[in-house]
Amino acid sequence: MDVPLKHVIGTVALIGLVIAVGLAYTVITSYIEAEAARKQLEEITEFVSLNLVEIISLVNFANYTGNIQMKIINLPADLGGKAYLIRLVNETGQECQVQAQLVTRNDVSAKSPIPLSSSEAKIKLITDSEGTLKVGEGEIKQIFYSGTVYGGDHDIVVWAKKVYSTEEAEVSTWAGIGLWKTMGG
Amino acid sequence: MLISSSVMIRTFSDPFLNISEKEQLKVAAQKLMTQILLNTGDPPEWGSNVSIHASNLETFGLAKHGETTREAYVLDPDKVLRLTLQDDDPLYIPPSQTVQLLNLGNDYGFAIEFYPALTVNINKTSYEVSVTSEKDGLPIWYAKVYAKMYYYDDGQIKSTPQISTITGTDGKCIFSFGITAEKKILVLVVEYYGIRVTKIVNLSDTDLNKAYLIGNQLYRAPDYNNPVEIMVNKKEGSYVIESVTHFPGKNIEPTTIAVLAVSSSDLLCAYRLPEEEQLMYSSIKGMRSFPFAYSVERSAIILDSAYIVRLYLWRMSF
Repeated sequence: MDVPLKHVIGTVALIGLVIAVGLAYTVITSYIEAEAARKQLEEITEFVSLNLVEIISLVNFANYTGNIQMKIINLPADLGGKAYLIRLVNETGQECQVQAQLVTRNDVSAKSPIPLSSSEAKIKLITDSEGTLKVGEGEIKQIFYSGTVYGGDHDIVVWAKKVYSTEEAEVSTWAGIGLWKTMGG
Repeated sequence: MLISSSVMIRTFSDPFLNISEKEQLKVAAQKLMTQILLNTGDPPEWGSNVSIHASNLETFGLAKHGETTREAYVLDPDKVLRLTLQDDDPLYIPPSQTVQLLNLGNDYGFAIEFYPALTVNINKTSYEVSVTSEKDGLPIWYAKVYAKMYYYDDGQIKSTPQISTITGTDGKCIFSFGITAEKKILVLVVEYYGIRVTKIVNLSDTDLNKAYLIGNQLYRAPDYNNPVEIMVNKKEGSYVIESVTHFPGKNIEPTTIAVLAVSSSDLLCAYRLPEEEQLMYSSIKGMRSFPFAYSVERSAIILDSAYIVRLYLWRMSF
């Protein structure tokens, strides 16, 4: 009886060890995979925020209002087969950021600060509303702006325009992200 | 085997992660550079308006503000000057405030350097001027050099006629003024294929009374009299160093590069930009760079002179 019991204990321990090592391997590789995805997301957020700052600077050089400037930005359709989202956020009411995160894993995310103060009256980043912007006469495509865009979408744009507010009697720059597409397309 | 394969995966992924980190730092540096050089900051006239202090700033940017027109990569000398004032000066913008305005939080540190596009040195005894390239110190041949000396004599500020010459193959040229006055300054304008560099050199053995020009007024100036404004204008393809009498109470011309005056029987020089060759502004005092910092370089114009602006950006945490 002694010998079979020893065998059972030994076999169970061996199976346990194999499972534990397998799990540890999975955890390590998953961590590395998440870390790699996070780095890619950081690059994406920095790239989007660079383009936003550039387009805002460009629009601020203009002396007139109403003219919309936009730039189509080329981003990867997915990160290693995983979909991701890009968001413009203003969490503390002071600091505007571009955030990106995997759709399937909220914990894998990255952010890049936009070096502009959201309390500055002259710059307004569109973080939580949606709408359309017509860029030119006769142009069938429009900007569908929104605070969130899906990374896999075609023709993601950053845009900015100068707006004259009659209430505040002041010109401000509005900017945001969106999609460049045809109505219903 | 499983452990070794885990270690291998970790080891193999490291170079990729490092490259990705560098790429991200590069884009972040480009973004900051765009913001600093192309944005005026808010309020846009924060450089020249002495009632605006660091705590009143909403956004940081060094671009020159214009009500009607604006040029890209033209910086406001008043804004640049305010970065270089003493720490306890009320008009100084502390780097900690700039870090906050640029939304860098505790994640990044940065340093900005401003260099003239051409390095101009002068031997204070022989008046030999050498012009070299900023990067590798190569001599600049055939650069046009305009010079005019201002000196304190008999309670008055006097000046020599303007002299101009061209640098030789060694990038050097010599001036002769024949002035023996003890207190004197030299205004040099160097032009090389459209690149202009202006330099004001104190040729006295001792320090001059120093002040600054902010906006249209003198800042930190002691009592003074007989002030003259020094300007550099382009006439018929050549530069002319001119001086006009400044009437106290009147605004100083925006193109004035310095104001000279008599103060306590000495020469007072109020600079639009600090006289130092190289200006540095860092989030860690005295530190220009940091391990693994990424640097970006752009050309900019400050007070019609060409400068190279270099930004170093680094991560504060790894």
